Amino acid sequence: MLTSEEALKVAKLANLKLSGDEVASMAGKLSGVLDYINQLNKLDTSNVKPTSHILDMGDVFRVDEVTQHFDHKLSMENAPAQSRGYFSVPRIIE
Amino acid sequence: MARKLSSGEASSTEIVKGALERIDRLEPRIKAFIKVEREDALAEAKTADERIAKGEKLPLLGVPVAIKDNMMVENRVTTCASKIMENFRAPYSATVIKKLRSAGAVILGKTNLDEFAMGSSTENSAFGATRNPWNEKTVPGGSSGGSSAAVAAGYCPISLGSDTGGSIRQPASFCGVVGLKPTYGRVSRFGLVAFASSLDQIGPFGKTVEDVAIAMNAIGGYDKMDSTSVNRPMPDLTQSLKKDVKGFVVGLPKEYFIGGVDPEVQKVVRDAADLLAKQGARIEEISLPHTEYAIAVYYVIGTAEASSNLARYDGVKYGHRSKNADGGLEGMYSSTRTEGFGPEVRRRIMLGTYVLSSGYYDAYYIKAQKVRTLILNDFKEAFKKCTVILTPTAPTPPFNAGEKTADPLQMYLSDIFSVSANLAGIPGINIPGGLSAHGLPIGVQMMADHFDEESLITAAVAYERARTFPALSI
Repeated sequence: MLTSEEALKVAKLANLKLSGDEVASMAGKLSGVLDYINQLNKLDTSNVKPTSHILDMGDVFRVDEVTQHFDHKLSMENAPAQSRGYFSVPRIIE
Repeated sequence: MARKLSSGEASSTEIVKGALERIDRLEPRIKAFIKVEREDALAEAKTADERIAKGEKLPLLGVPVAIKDNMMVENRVTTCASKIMENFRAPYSATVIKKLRSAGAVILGKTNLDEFAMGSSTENSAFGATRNPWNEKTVPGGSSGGSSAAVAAGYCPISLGSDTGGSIRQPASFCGVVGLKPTYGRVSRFGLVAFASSLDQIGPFGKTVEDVAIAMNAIGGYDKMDSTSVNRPMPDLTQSLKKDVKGFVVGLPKEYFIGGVDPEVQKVVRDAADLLAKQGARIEEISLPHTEYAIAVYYVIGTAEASSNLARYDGVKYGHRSKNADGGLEGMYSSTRTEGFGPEVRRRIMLGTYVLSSGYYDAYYIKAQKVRTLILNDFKEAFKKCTVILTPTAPTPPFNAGEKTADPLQMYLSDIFSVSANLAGIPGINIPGGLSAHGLPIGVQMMADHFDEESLITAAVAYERARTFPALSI
């Protein structure tokens, strides 16, 4: 029930490319899983609260002080491309 | 092993050399490791021997351990079995690594997994599949297949895996070893590459319940670097090995013994119930009525959280970046991610993105969260009278490589008995129970209430001592 058009929309949201045959194949495989997932509709959950987190904890804070941190060199170590100490990326603004 | 090291019967260097020889001999067939840290391990072993000679006493001093390659070890490559992280050098060590090192352990290397921990067979690795040491035509399970196989093959007594939907317990079952998933919040996730943040937990593999208890003692406990870590004292689980199951109520949920479950698997679990009853436990049939919906819930919540957690892999600051220059920045993102992620990862990101997208969020994600509450309530109700719950770990013995790769849903259904524990956040353990007619391991799962790893260890060791399980000699 996921159309090829919807698959392409989702791919764009997910920053993934789907080419040619892949679109139909992906839409098909996902449709199969979504079909299975639809059985959740058999359950009446109108009076049930959603669980997003198992543990009964609220926001966890810490004191805003600098402890361990990476130096610049370490932060740049895995950079695919860098220039003058910055991560460089394709031009964004014309 | 720790005792032998401490008493001087064996040296860490000898043990690590032995492990490396065994790895050299068996790895071409098993492929449990992505990277064996040969020189570093020997150097660490040498240091351990020096410390032992000085009389230092630590629980794992000189003991070699293997680590699933989704946990960061500072200055070493952490791949997550993905091309997108192939050359990523970790800038810091995970808390569990720091804890293992404080306990004196020697890191042997990083083990193979399904890419980003997404899978149940370790066939989704970008660096090749791991094979089951019991029969190389079969899978070791997943996603922590490498860590499970490493212990089963005798490379090291302890390894670490991660469990989001069963990824420790299921491979433990398939490889005939003990594997434990702690209560959510028991073990720090700091430094574990996140898959689904409300489900992920790190846990140990070992040949025996005792080894797993020792490893849990080393890695468990509150960590302020993980905001989902729980500030409760970590019990000494080796004390739980000394207790017995007299008066334990062992629940057998009828929904786990339905038609589709392999009869050999059912027999091993029912025999386990008998063995526990003989030791003074009371067996009771219970119901976990929402069991059949657990996979559906898991594949909504898990993939939704994964789509969010994997959004960071965009080629900007680390990891693979596409050389395709089309489409500017956005083109870079999508080319990078499409090139770098394997098909299963891309499928799950797509599914997760869809269920979170506008118009579908309520119908899928919120709905799944509500059913998660129902599943959690099933367990809360059960633990009012049960001490532990006993079930199969996997619905079948280990399947053949390639058998379930054609239809993703078939693969997903192998998690049917393990996902509920992650959704409810309760601890679960696999204990090897017996062999199938084809000589393949079948495991037994036990689950306990939140933060009750103590009852889990006591019940597990009671079963382990009462049953016989053959050693694997390869």
